[in-house]
Amino acid sequence: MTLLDQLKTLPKLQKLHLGWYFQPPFPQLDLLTEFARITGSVPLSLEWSLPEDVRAAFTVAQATGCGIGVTSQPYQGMGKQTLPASSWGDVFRADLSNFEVRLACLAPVKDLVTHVTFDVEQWHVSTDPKSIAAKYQALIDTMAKYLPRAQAIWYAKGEVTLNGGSPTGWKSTDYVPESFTGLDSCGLYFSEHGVNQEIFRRSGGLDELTVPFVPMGGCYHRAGSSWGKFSAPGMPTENLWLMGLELNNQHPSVAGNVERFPLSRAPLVYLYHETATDAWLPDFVTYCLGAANQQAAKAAA
Amino acid sequence: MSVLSDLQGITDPLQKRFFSAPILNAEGHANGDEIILATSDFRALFQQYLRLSRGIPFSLNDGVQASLDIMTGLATGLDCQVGLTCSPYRTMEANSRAADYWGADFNTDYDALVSRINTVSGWLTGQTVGMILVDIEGWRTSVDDVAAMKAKHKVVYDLLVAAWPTAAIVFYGAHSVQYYSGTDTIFGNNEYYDSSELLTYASVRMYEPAELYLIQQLFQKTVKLAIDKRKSTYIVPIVSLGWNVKRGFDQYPPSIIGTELSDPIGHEFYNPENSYQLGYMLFNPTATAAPNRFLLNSKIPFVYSYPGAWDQYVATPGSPWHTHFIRMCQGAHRLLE
Repeated sequence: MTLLDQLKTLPKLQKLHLGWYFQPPFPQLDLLTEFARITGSVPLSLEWSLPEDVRAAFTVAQATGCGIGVTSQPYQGMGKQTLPASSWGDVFRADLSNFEVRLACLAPVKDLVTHVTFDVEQWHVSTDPKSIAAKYQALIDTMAKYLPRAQAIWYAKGEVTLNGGSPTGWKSTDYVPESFTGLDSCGLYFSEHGVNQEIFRRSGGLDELTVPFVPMGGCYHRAGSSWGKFSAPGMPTENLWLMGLELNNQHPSVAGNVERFPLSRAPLVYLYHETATDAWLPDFVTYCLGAANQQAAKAAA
Repeated sequence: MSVLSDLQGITDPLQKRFFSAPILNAEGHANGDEIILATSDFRALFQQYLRLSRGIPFSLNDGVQASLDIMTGLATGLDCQVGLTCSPYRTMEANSRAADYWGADFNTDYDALVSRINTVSGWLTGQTVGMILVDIEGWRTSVDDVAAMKAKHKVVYDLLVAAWPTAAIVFYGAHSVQYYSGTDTIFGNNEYYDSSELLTYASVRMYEPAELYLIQQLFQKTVKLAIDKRKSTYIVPIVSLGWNVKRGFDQYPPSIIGTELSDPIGHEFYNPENSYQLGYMLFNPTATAAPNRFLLNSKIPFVYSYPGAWDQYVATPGSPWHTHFIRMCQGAHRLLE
């Protein structure tokens, strides 16, 4: 069965699923159309997608009625020079200018972009909450000029996650600004479902304002006396299937029991699929079948 | 590498004693331990196991003297203690007697227990009995009558303490916080058993090494219940050795956790890294440095395990027993870091 055939068998997910952009080559239109039908969105990268990718996204979005989800990795110049958030000099202005230029390139699809996910994982060079908030606000203000419908999602701005080196076992998020525009997020990147549920709880997920990131084709596994690096394979099949079911809220037992099934409170989901290879696809199939409460996932495993 | 060489490759014993259920599970054989121990290959393996665990497994109900003699002989010079396992109310269980029943079936069980205590204590002259696991899991036909149930347990407790006053008495299945898929939280809460002298050593079942985080949660919830509320002093982890419980498709819902893999060979099994990490958490003294991060290691005096079928798995390289036990020992000493 081809990749396209497999995608055609999958039901549409119940909630909106944004996704990591497809690394080159951008998928063919029929493939992208199926992906958009299932997830409800076409993924683009502000920094890496090419003009033809934007045109393809427009075509698919028009054909399917889906929106477009953009992912951006801002302040790369500041990150490379490890400049603190309190820096407002030339590098900052260049980064913001670059951000604005790229936003302008999205003019053909500006009314179709529903979300911009700001990946600030590589820009953790400052623990000054006020300065960080100001930098983030600069992005929000600029985005609003070019993408009037888009809602911001913040990725890794100070995520709740495990940290084996701390006394509590959890990473400190004291430096994170208390609140600003947009949705928060958390990474459900661990091989154990109970860990992912706890991360979501601790990230304020029960308030329905936290977007969980679900990995496809890799995750953190236990190694030695702690956790290893993010690597293949993905989560155990049962856990990924369960995550699909719980996140998409498709069983009465899930919907009626937030304490036991906290992931059901996710407003939408972000799929982190490493698209350089097809390794993400089996996990995507399992996840989608779990979301539909289809036992066939067992056979697919 | 063979199982034997793997075992020999671990220099130091586990930092705490590692007792286990008896070997007598050779299917259909009342004296299965004797049969298994009759082979020289297994005896060589078992001696290494005794060196590392420092616990001699023996059934108070069914063990035979011949196998005990073999095991104690293999343990010569190894600083071992005997760990007894006892199922005191088999007749009551078979006839589904309630906790407040004191009739003929109770008398049958009582007499059998007294008889076996007298017999086995005679065999164990010169041996130290470190712990006795009282398995009452199968006999929980009434959890409403707490007083009657406690009285039944007290009968057993008094007999055992009289025979082996220094042994730790662990009631298995009396009060462990356990997964229970029927609750909102997935954690059952066996609160029916209140504080008493019977619970100096509380137990907690840890059969889910597929997800260590859940084991940590179980342990911490048991600590709150047993130590903080019931004033138990110690927590004894009951771990699986060669099988585990994992999440499954078919059991969701209503059961979130899944099926016990009682025959694990051929099945996808837990990540060996989990066994390694479990060994670190349970045995290594440095794991106490961050009590919120790891198990409350200092409250664990020793560990007890259900090994599955010894004869099928112990001597098989790559079998779940092999994988789990070796990795657990390696993790206890952090040998792979």
